Amino acid sequence: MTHRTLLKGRNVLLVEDEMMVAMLLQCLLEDEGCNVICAGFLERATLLAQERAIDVAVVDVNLHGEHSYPVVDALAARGIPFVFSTGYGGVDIRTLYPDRPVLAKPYNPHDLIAALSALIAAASGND
Amino acid sequence: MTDGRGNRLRDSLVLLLALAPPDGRAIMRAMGHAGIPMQLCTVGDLSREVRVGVGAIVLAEESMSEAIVRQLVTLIEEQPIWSDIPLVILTTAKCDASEHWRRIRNAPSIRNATFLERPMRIATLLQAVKVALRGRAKQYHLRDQMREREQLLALSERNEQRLSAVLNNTRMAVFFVDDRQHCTFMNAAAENLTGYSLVEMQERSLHDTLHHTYRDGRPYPQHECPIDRAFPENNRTEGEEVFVHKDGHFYPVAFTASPIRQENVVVGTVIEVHDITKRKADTERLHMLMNELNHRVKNTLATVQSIFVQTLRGETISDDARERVISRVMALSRSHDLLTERSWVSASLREVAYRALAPFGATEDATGRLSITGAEFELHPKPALAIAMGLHELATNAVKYGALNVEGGSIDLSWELIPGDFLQLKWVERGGPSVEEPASIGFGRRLIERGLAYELGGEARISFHQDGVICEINIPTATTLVATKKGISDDASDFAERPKRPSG
Repeated sequence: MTHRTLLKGRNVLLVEDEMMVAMLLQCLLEDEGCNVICAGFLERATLLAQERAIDVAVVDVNLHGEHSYPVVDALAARGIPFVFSTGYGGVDIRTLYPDRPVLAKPYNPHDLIAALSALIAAASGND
Repeated sequence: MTDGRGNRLRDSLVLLLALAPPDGRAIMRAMGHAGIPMQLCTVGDLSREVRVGVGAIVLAEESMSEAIVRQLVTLIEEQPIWSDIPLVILTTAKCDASEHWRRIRNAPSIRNATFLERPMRIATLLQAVKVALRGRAKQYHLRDQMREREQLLALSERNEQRLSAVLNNTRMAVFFVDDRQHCTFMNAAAENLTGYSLVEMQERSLHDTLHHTYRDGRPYPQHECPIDRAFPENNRTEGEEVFVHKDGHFYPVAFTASPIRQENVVVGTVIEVHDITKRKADTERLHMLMNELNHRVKNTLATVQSIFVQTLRGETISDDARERVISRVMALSRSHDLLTERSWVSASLREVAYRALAPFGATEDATGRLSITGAEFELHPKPALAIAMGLHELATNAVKYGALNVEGGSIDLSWELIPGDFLQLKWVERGGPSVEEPASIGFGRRLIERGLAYELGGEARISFHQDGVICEINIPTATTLVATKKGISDDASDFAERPKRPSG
């Protein structure tokens, strides 16, 4: 299966506080046929993670100076796969969430698509 | 009295006090023959002469008026503890009968006196004078020893005052511990630091009092303590540890423990300690700021990338060009990571190269298609960034047109010091397609031959060969390398021994 078919029609939660980066990723994911739900603040992002129908998520580690751990914990509780995106070295999250994929900013947009596709593929394989 | 050894002559000088001419002349002549230094002295000069220094006094009964006796008694009583001037007194038989003489003989002060009854043989007088001088010499010897001891005492008191001034005014906590690691002294700063007073610490084990528990609450056994190892190992040790304050809180310290040797036997340890709480906090803060800065740089680069991609959305631009911009931005970002990890002080050339080329399959063990060999050198931040960018361009080019574009192609990146204080980087492609010098100069080549050469203050040259591209970059070591303690390179000597991958 190609990436395109894997991601098409999926609900993707995009948690990112940098406007320009969020815009880029949204365009990119929409080009892949995804329904993108965006959040730049911790509270809204956590709420969305708890309640909305989501297939996969991209979560920035730092949201306006706050860690986005509540968001990923909510996702993990619902069994929703996610990938971290971070501007830091990523040492903390690799210790806290050793099994989760991490994309270090700036990353190649293709790497994001590949990472999300891999998560979807793994999730479908488990079904 | 004489000053120290200043006037030995005076110490054996015999004063002839108010001797009448006939006696006086005969005695002087005899003493002159015997080589005994002497001087005639009037009653008026007596006090002054005695104070300057004298070996013995010879005087005759006829000069001993009440006034002279009083003066003599005063002089004798005024003498310092070590001094008892010997007197040789010439008498006559009739003196014994006089009340005046009985008083003199019984005077408590006039004890060190030899009475010679005239007429007498001159040899008897000389003998008596010599005995007196010999006794006097002993007194002077004693005086010298006393003075020496006083000086030593004063010196050691001054040293002790100085030492305690240093110990009590330094902000460094100083402890002395004995051979059982028990505290025998601590200064004011140490009391301040630990919360314990010297009295409380005296004779207690330093470790068991200040250093008994790890920060996580585990007990800290003495045999694991590097401070206490200085003594048995007879070696100065330094390091950082965490102490426990009297009130129970932990505080980080830096310490130096130096064994004290007395005649080559270790008798104890001097331990200097200072609180590094602030330094630790500063370091942590610096680290945090550095991370924050890196985070901002990353986000800015991601934003630049986003602006680029979105601006050119829908424009007719090749995927290849799009990809090149994105990968350049990412290369710049990766080289920042390395510098942030090293606090923007320096970066190892080997690591700079490895990080820049890892996405292209570089290996550090010379087994892959892209091998990196070279000794360890530390680069300043700016040259490190420039070299990383240059390597990225070379690798990108190799993937598109060079050795990484075909099966069996390989690249060796190596470096060595060359004469003229240059570090020479060599990028050699082998087994690639035949390359020809392109007609126009692209960004990558411009970056290397102009930008990189400019940034490094050196030279960079790309040449196109049958077998592939060769790039030589000569970097002046003085401006780009961070000097280490051992010189500019840590292990430059092992460079030659590193395995080179066979050419292929």
